Amino acid sequence: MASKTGSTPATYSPSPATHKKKRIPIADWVCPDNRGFYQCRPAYLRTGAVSTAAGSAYAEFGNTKVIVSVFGPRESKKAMMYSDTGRLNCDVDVFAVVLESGGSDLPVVISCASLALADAGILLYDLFASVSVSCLGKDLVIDPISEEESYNDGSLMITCMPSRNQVTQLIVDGEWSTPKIHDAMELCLGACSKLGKVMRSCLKDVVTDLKE
Amino acid sequence: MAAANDSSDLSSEMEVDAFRRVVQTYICILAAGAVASADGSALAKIGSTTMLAAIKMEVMTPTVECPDEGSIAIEFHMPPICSPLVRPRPADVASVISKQLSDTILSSGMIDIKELCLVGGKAAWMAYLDIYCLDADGALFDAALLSAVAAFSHLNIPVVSLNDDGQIVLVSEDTVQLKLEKEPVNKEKRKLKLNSLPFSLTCILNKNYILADPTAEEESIMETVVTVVLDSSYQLVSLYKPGGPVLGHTSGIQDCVALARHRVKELQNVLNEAISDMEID
Repeated sequence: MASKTGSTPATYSPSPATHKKKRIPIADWVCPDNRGFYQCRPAYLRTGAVSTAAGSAYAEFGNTKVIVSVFGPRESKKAMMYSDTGRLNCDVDVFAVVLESGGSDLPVVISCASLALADAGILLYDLFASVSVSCLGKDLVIDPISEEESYNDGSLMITCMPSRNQVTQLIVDGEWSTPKIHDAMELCLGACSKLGKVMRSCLKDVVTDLKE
Repeated sequence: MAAANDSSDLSSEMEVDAFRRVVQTYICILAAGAVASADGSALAKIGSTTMLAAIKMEVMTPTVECPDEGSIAIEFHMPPICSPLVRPRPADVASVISKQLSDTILSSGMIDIKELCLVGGKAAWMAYLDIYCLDADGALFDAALLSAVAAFSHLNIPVVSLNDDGQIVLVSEDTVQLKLEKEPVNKEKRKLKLNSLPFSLTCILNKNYILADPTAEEESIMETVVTVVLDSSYQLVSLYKPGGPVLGHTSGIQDCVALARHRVKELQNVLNEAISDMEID
């Protein structure tokens, strides 16, 4: 029977996950994939995921899967403005799609976007890497999965340019004490520099493959 | 206007690299576990065109006229990552393909919606099929249909039971051992029984040539497109020719159908391989 036009019937999901969230004893928390609290998920990064884009990248960190494509430089609407010197106004469009959300989505999208921009050949000051940390009671968990994020008391996300040692973005929310924030930032910056190295080697591999 | 009809040798009229595209289909389980992102999913890649199909099952109350039937809602999305043409203007072709897919899948008889019934008159499955185009490089309908068919082949219907409030609830693995008094409503039916699977081939027509499986560049210069959908027993499911300056002479259309038959064989092999790979895991 063809789909009925007009009313879409109300539906509900049979899964009980939307009901009350039982509070697990934080002290006994063990990450489902047996990671230590200060261990990030293994990162799989590839450029050139989308053939129609100027540059693109695919990132898979555990269950979080993201594709980012970059189009540009393209002509900008600001080209209409009068100027008595010649001017070329360009826009670069960056689009991201989260294929599967497994926790810590925004940091993964940001790191993937950095690779996509590099793949498109856009001039950058540096690659940028992003990592987030969740505060679960007394413990800090780096690169949390969605379950850990839903139980957290606070979260902190840092985006930084590892080679220049500059932080470009810092988002903090929830409950934090000053010493905890310091520890969390140290953790993030350490992880960002390691992630920066992984991203560089991913880009280098593409070039060495081309040379062969 | 000499259509490609007189010579019986198709290869002289066919573009040389008509079938040179490598067809890769993966049926991948994107989320593991019973309470997961998708109940059935598949990634299909034909040449560079990439489609991701995902099915989410929800429970609905069937209508009064058809108390034994579930429903399928099909939607095709083209997010801006897939092509530079999608922004600033959203792609008009997305809604056309969405309707085309919906009509083809529902009329092909692949799925008997009576199978989606859980409790007659009270509860039935609503399957939301969403297809995302990740890379738009021509012949979007073919890849989208292939990914939809693969997603339905992979679909695992969650085991549910009726709880005391009369609501359908998911039965998760740990409760299966404990609460055996709540009998699962659909313990046996975990996979959909699929009848003839539809496969399609898009061709573009020129005065003298038929170009099968065009890329985006090829589609942009030719305006006459024909899509033939056949099922696994080579019966015609749908023929779609939306205008265009080249008229559809019978012989031209027959050649397209013949090309589509070759394609159906290829795609069936690819799909079977992908399903058996998944079952090994």
